[in-house]
Amino acid sequence: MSEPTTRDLLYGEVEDDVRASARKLLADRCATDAVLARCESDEPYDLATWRTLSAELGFAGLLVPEADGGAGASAREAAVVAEELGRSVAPLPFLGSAVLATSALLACKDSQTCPQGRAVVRELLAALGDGSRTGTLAVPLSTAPGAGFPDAVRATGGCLTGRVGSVVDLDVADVVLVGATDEDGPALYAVDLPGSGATRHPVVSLDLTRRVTDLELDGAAGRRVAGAADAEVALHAALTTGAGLLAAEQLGLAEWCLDTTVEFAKTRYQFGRPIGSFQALKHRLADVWAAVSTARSVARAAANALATGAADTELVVAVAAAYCSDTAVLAAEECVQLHGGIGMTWEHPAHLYLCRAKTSQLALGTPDGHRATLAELANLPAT
Amino acid sequence: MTIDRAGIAPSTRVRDYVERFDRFLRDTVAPAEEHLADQGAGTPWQPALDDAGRMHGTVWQARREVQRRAAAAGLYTPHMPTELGGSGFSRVEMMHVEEHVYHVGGLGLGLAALAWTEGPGPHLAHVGEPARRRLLEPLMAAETTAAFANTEPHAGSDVLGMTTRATRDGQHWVIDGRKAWITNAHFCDTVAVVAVTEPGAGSRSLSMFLVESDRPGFSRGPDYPTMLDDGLTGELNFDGVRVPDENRVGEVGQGFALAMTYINWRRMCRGGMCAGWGALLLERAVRRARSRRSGGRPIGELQVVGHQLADMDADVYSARAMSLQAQSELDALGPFTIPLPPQARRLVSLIKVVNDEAFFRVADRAVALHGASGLGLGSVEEKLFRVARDLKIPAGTVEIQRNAIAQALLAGPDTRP
Repeated sequence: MSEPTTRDLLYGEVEDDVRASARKLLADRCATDAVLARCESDEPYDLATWRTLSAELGFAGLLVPEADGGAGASAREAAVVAEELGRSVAPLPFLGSAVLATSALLACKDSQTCPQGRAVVRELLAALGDGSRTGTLAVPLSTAPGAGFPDAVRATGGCLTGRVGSVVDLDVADVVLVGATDEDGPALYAVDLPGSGATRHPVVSLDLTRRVTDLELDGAAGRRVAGAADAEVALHAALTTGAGLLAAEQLGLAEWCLDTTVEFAKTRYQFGRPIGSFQALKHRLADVWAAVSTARSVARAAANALATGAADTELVVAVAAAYCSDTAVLAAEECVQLHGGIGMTWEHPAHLYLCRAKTSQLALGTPDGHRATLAELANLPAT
Repeated sequence: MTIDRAGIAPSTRVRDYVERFDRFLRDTVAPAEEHLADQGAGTPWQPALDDAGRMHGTVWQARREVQRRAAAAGLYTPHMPTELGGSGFSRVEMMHVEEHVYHVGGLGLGLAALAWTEGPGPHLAHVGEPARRRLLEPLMAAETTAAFANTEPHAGSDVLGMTTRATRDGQHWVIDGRKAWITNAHFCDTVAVVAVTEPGAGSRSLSMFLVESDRPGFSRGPDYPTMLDDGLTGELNFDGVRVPDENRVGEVGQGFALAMTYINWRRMCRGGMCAGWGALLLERAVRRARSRRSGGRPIGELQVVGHQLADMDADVYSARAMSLQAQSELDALGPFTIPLPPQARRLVSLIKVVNDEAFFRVADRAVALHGASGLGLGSVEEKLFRVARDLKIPAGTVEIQRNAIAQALLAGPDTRP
C-alpha cells in the first residue's frame, strides 16, 4: 500500500535549515528596495545572487540527485526555497531553471527513446544543478500540466523551427528545452543560447520580477534528449512539478503580505489609535490568515506528494495550485488595500507582490483550469 | 443595445393601489390575523400541518378569505390585462406594488391579497373564450385557486426532458404523467399542465392545458415537506385525464413558450419581493443594532456590525435599482411576448440572479445580526432566511439563469468595448 500523502507535512530540521539559509541570503541580497530598484535597471535578473544561491547553498540543484552532481534533496526542500523566493519576490530564474528545465531533464534521464541523449541530459543536469548554466522549458508560462504536447515547433535533421510565446526566465537562459515534432513524432531538444537561428523577443509582463520572453527558432541546432512517449512524460512531469512548487511560492508570497500588513496595522495610527484595533480590519486580516493557513496545508501536501511520487500527486497538485493561486491574490490585494495610500505608491513594494500574485495565478494553469482537472480526476468530466 | 424605457417612478394608480392596500391591511387583514392567532393552527408563515402534511385547513381558509376579499376590493389581479378584468399594470408598476405588499405585508396574511402562484398568471391570457369564462374568471375573482404543473421527478431544469404526454382524441386530449414539486398541489382547483404533444419537436414539442381537479384520473400525490415548511408543495398525478380541446392554452406546440411566460413572470416578481422583504429585514436589523447592547454599548457601534448593515443596504438598494431599470426595459420590450426576444430573456434572468443572491446575503446577515433570537423558529429572520435559500432554486436555479444570460450575450450583436 502506498504511503498516504498527508504523512508528516511539518517542516523538518533540514527544511528549517534550508529556509534559514535562504531567508538570510535573500534578506541580504534581495531586500524589497533592492528588488524594486533592479526592476527599473538594465539587469532585471540578479544573476550574482543566483550563482551564490546555486554554488554555495546548492539550491539550484535541490531536485538533482547527488550522483548527477546535485544536492539530492526533494520537492519538499525545493518548496521551502520557493516559499522564501515568494516572500522576497526575488528576481531569480528558479522556476525556469531549477524547477521546469530540471524536472524535464530528470524525467529524461533514463530515456529509452533517445539513448544518445542521456549524456546530454547528465551534462545539463550537472550544469543547471551547480548554477554554472541556467535553463528553462519552452512553453508559454500559462501552460497547464494537462495541456497536450505542443505543436508549435518542428525539427528536421536536428534543426528546429517555430515560435513559442511567453517563456519564463528565457531572458537569462543558457539553454532551453524545446518540445518539437520531428521525424519520429514528439521529441525534446536542448537548444543552446545564444545560438544561430534562435532569437529572443522580450515581452512586457505585468510581473516586473519575473520576465517572460518569446522564443523564435529558425533552423536552430538542437540536441535531442528524448523522443515519443518520453518527451510527453517529461513535459507533463515538469509542468506538474512546476505547478506544485509554484503553489509553495504563492504561499510564501501570501505570507509576506499578511505579515507586512499585520505589522503595518499595529503601527499605523488613525483616529488616535492603531488601525489594527478597528474590528473591520481585524476580521479581514483574520480571513487572510485563515486562507494562508489552508494554503500552507495544500502546498505542503503537494510538495510531499511530488517528493514521494504519490499516486494522487496530480490531484494534490491541482488542489494546491487552485487554492494557493487565489490566496496569493487575496493576500496581495488586501495588502494594497489595508495599507491605504502608501499601498498605492511605487515606493512601497506591495505592487510587486500583487503583480507577481496576479501573473502567478495564471501561470501553469488557472485556478479554474485546475478545478476542471480536479473534476476530471473525481470522475466529473467537464462538458 | 439601448432600449427605450419609461420612467421608474410609481404612477398615480400605483399610489392609489398602495393607499387602498394599506387600508385593506388595516381594516380586513389585521382582524383576520388576530382571529387566526386564536385558532391554534399556527401562523400564515409557520402554519400547523394536518395529518397529510398539508397547510392546516384553518390557515388555508384564512388566506382564501383574504384572497376573495382582495379580489372584490380590486387588489388581487393588478398584473392581469384590463380586458380580462385586471388592472393592466406594467412591470414597473407591479414592482412598486409587489415591493409595497412584501414590505408591509411581511409574512402575514396580507401577502395573499396579491395573486401569485395560486392566482391567475400572464400565461392564462392565452385561453380561448369558453375557458376564459369557465376557468379564468373564477380565478380572477379568487373563487378558485390555480397551480402550475411543469416540473417532473426527473425533469427539473431540463424542461424538455419531461415525459407527461397529452394525446389527441377527437375534440379531447388525454393526459398521462406525474408532476412533482408543485406549489398548491393540495388545494388547487385548476392546474395549468405542460405536456408533450409532439415528441422530438424540441421547443415546439409541448402544449399547455388547464385541468380541473374534479376530472376523473386526476389525483393529488404525497406532500413534499420542504424547508419552507408551509405544507403547500406536492405531486399531481394524471392518469388518462380527458379534457376538452377548449381547455388548451394557446396553440398546440406553444407549451414551452407559455411555461416560460409563467416562469418569467415569477422571475420578474423577484424584484419587488426582494426589495420589499429586504427593506423589512434591514429596518429590523437597524432596530436591533440600536437596541441590543453588548459590552456596555449598542452592537451597532461595533464596526463589523455597522458594516453588515451597510452591506445589507448596498444589496437591497442595488438589487432594487437594477430591477426597476430592468422592469422598465422589459416593459418596452414586452415582458410576456411570444417569442420573447433574447434581450428580454437576459433581463429576466438578471433580475432573478441578482435578487436571489442579494436577498440571500441580506437574509443571512439579518439572522447574524439577531444572534440567537435570529435562529428562533418562527422569527421573521429565520423564516425569511429559509425563503431566501429556497428562492435560488424554483423558477429556474440561479445557475440556469446564468446559462440564459450567457446565451443571450453570445447570440446578441457585438457591443462596443
